[in-house]
Amino acid sequence: MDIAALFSELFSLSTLFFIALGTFVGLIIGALPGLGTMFAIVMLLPITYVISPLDSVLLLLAAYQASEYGGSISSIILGIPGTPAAAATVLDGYTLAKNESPGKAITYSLIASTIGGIFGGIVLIFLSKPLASFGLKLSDPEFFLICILGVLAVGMLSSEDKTKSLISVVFGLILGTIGMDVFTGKMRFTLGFLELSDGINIVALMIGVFAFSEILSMLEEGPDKRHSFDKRSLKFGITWKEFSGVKKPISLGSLIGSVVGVFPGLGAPAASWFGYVAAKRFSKKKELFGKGNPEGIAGPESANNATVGGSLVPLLSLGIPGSPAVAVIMGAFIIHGIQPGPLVFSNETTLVYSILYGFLLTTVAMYVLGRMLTVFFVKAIIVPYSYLVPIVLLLLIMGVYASKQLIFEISLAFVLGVICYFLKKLDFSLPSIVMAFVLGPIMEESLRRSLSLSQGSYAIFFTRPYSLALVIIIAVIVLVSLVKKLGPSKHVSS
Amino acid sequence: MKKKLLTAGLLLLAFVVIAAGCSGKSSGKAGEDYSKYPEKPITWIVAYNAGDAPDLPARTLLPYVEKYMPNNGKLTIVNKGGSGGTLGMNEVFKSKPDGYTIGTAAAAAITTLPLLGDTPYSYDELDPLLNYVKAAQFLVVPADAPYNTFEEWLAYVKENPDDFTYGISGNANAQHIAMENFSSKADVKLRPIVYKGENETLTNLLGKQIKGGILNHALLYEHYRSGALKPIVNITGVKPDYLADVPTFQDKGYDVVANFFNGIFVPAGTPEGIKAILQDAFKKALEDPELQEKFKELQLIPSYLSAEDFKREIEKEVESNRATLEMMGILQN
Repeated sequence: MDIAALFSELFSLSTLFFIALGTFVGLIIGALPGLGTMFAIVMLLPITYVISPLDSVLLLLAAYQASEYGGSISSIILGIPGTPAAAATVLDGYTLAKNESPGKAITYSLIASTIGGIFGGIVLIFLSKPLASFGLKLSDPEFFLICILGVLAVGMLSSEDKTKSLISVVFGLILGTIGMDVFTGKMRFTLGFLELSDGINIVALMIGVFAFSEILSMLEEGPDKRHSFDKRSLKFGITWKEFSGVKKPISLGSLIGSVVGVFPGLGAPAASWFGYVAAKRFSKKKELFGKGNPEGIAGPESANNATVGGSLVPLLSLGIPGSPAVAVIMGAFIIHGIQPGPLVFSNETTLVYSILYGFLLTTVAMYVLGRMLTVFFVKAIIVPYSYLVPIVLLLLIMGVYASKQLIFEISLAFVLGVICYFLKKLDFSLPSIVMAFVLGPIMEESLRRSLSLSQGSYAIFFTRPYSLALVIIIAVIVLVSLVKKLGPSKHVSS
Repeated sequence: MKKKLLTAGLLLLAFVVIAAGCSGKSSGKAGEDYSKYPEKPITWIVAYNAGDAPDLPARTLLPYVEKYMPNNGKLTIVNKGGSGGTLGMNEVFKSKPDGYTIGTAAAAAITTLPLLGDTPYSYDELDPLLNYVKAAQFLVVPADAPYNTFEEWLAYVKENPDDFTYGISGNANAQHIAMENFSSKADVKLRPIVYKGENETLTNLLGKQIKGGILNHALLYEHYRSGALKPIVNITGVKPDYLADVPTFQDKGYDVVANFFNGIFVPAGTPEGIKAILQDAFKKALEDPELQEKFKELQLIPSYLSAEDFKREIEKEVESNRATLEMMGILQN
């Protein structure tokens, strides 16, 4: 394989141009609340019909990568996730931005996203084959247990009103059941709406849950309200000390994201929640989570960018897309007559390696462009509500409509928004709703399919080696936290 | 007073403008003159998301259809995916039958889902215009499975009832229906496991979580070439070149055939003259040698069916599917 030829092709003007274009589009679309990763990639897809295979794939990959960071911009500046995988970032990102420094919050996010992206790329380049084979060994029983693990981790650490958190989770689960049941084909809670047969559109949900309710709150605070910051707080940049403070969540998030990305059933939103939960679990400052702890930004953001690399692993080794976005990218391959699959490494060696190394270029481009454009994004936070609200509202409505071109979605988002506005006032946890909405269906489907495979026997969770390992881990966690709870009171009585 | 006059005047102007705009739309053709059709771009609704299987053949075909359209006719593909194609086809169903909306549906949206009662349209309320592509689907097993031919596999499942698990990409879809139909005719007991798409079936098959899976020929190909999977039987009536020697159910004497088509449908009531123009353009496009080359490269199987033939096939399928669904207990008769 000719290294020189590879690099000359990779660094050609056209390829670099398309990487930059993809990054720019991904950033902007990701940052616009509601539109999301899929929209960016699908919008760019027609361009790929007329350009080279390498340029096509890198164009779409760059957009994918940049949008996973871009989503956090809206989360941090407006409190509205720009992409489903940036929902977790709202918790600490928006708070840090409002109370202290939007510039810093964005910096944490960009740095975490870049490192996560690079980590995902390295995993893709060096660990594709072994990770793909490992990935095949895990299936529904293990996914179910992994989700249980994630849910437990949140439950254990929830320091707010436990009952309200629980209710929020249940509400999210209920919303997640709406749609056609995968196994029986029966419609659940769709109230006769064909538009709901695929379930509530995640874009409409997020915009309803976060955006409309946030806008209603903004309206409440009054049109003249505006955040004000001194110039320094709007600037990009963190100190080395601040950076070392987030080293742990970035490492955890990157690792989690790369691995989770490999499994088609899970995805970036699930990974971002796991990243947040892991950051909180291993943090020395648990109490500060939700109040603007930078670790709460770094964890999910590194995770969601790491999934980009992870989701390419099954594509390039087995021809199976690891996420819906990758499925569209796979379409770009196929249009050029290239079938991703086990033989693609040997049939198209130069192309594949160019893509692998080009992937790393997309993370660099994301950092560079992200840094350059940050200034503009951050300024948006000091715009008075009287201007901000109508502009954002317009963007949101466009975003919801763009996702499925149905007026129904807008009404749905609005209804959800009103409900969530009241829930927010009563101190219910909106992020728990979204998390339950994302993880619930995964859990239900994997549980039912596991039982379908085992013909109803729960033994399947104990006879499979990885399942057994997960069950043991879960049991240990439950026992440890029970002991912790009972421990101090034992001391007191003796 | 002046203000009121001004307002009234503006309102009147507005009404006139709106009326003028509307009348442009509703001035239908008085006679049967379609020599100017199409006078504006035709909306081609593909009832699936960009990047999904039916999207590729449609987009590949589009420039060639435009090549053979009269009056420099143009078409624009609009993706409206969701609910197995029924959302998009519902749009077609509700559109005006003026020849400016056509839709691509794969089999499920016409011959299975409407039977289950959850669609606002029934299968015969959309007018089949022509079919352009068909796909072959195979029952596939891992390469190291202890059976290599259809007969060996059949012997195995006869001896081991309720043992053979096979993945399908949706409950009561054409794959499921064909296999259930076969199971009852061959008197064997198989266990279908429902996944959310063929990629999930493929992943679980490669990971040996299931013993078999039903896969599209294009998806199967790379794994067949790499030696990871082997096809046992073709559940359709279409044979792609590279898997031509895999028998179909019909080859083996079982009257079971699944039909995975991609066809064009128009709203009921679309004038015959317009339909003829569309059919002609599509037919010529499918016969274009350049297009045929492209399809071959992309492993797409062109399969033209005229409106009458297509309609007949659909009727036959709906009847057969209804019978199987009743046998499966999903439909009550």
